[in-house]
Amino acid sequence: MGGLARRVSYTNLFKEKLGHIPSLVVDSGYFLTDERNAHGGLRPDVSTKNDWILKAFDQFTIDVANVSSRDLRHVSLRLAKSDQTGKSQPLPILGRLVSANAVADASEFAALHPFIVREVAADQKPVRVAFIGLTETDPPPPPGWRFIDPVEAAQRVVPEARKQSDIVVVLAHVKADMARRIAQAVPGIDALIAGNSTSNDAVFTPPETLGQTLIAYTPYETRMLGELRFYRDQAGRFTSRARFITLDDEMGDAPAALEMANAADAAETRAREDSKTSLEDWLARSRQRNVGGRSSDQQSPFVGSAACAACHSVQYIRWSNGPHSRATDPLPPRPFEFEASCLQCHATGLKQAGVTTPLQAIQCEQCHGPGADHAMSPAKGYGRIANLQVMCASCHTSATSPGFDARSAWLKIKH
Amino acid sequence: MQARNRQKVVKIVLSLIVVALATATLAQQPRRRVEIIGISVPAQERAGADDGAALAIHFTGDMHGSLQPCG
Repeated sequence: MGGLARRVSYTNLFKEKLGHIPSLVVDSGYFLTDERNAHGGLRPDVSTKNDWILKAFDQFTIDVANVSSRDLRHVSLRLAKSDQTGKSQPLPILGRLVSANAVADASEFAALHPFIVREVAADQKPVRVAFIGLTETDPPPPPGWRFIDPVEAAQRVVPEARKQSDIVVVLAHVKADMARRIAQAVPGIDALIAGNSTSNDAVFTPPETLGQTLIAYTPYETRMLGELRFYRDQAGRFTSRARFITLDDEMGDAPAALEMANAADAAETRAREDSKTSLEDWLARSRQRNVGGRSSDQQSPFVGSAACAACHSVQYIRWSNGPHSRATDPLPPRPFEFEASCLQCHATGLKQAGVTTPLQAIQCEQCHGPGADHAMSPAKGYGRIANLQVMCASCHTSATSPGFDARSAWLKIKH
Repeated sequence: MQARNRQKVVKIVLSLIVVALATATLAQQPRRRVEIIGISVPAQERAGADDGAALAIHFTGDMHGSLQPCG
């Protein structure tokens, strides 16, 4: 049930049968996926998948989309000013995203619109529809963003949207109780489209009316398409009703949309395979933690901890029984999460230019520096660490090691 | 006789009032507020009839990163 190709099939049918009724297509949120890697970042295949969704929103136009807390992690990457540098045309959909309660640090990110007004010609008269975005506040926002309480944000934004429009529609990715709170606390909302159905049991939740606000719940995972029809009376006031169209096999697939959905799947599979292959390649050409001495790569300035053991056996034993010697172990069980940046902190030597055969694990030389010259002619002065906290913090960040304290951590590995 | 006529007039007036009220109510609510277009409806009929709508907003959500059908 559901899916892009059937949704497009219906909207095409609507245009064909009732083309004189202007129509808009909107999304109430959680259109992206939020599957994270072990450190809370998005996996490479997930980013690929999400970019295809954004492309689909441009190719099969979504007029306005609400950014939910689940969407924000990926959206924030695309709104980062650093991501847009050098790109002549950022994705057009980014300009059609709304959120009145996700607020960005302006120095790092392009802002989201709190609302967007779309004007359509209905019965030869223009109708202005304001779409306001709201999201639940959990999960918490990514770095550089903060959430405002949805009711408070609606109270602030609805009066402004009302002034600029004939119909006010709130797109909210919130639970039903929050949707009702918003409708009760904020006058001036004609329709509130609420997403966030979380199970198959809630494929369809009947709409309800609170005061003047119609609350329509988005069916679960696109299995039905919602349709609000607005009627203008002689006094120019609008009333509405809700229709829900089942998107089953009978609806059929729009060929171009089906092609895009299949291409997105193929790209996601490729991204997963690419990650797995990159990891396997790296494991094959890197040197294991227990292999010491210069490798066949004579250019490598690294010798490996086993070479250090010749003179520093106590320190070597301490290291080999500690967590740094196993720093590569978490990678193979998560082949689809792998990307080259993992190696900055799960391997040794990656930050050095000209290293073609880096070492697995966090070995002595990751902190003390390349040791080939020292091994050839041992001398005092090699390997002193100027600032332990700075050294540790280059990998143990708040994202990778929540609650990390360099002083107490040092006591566990002191050597 | 006059009393019977009066009763008849009252009945007619009451009937007219009931009919007028019913007509007014139906005029105010010409459409169901919710309509489910289920699996028994052929695809070509799912858009329904032209019911005088000035505008339609189609809404979807909770795609969870998938363009494919679900379930």
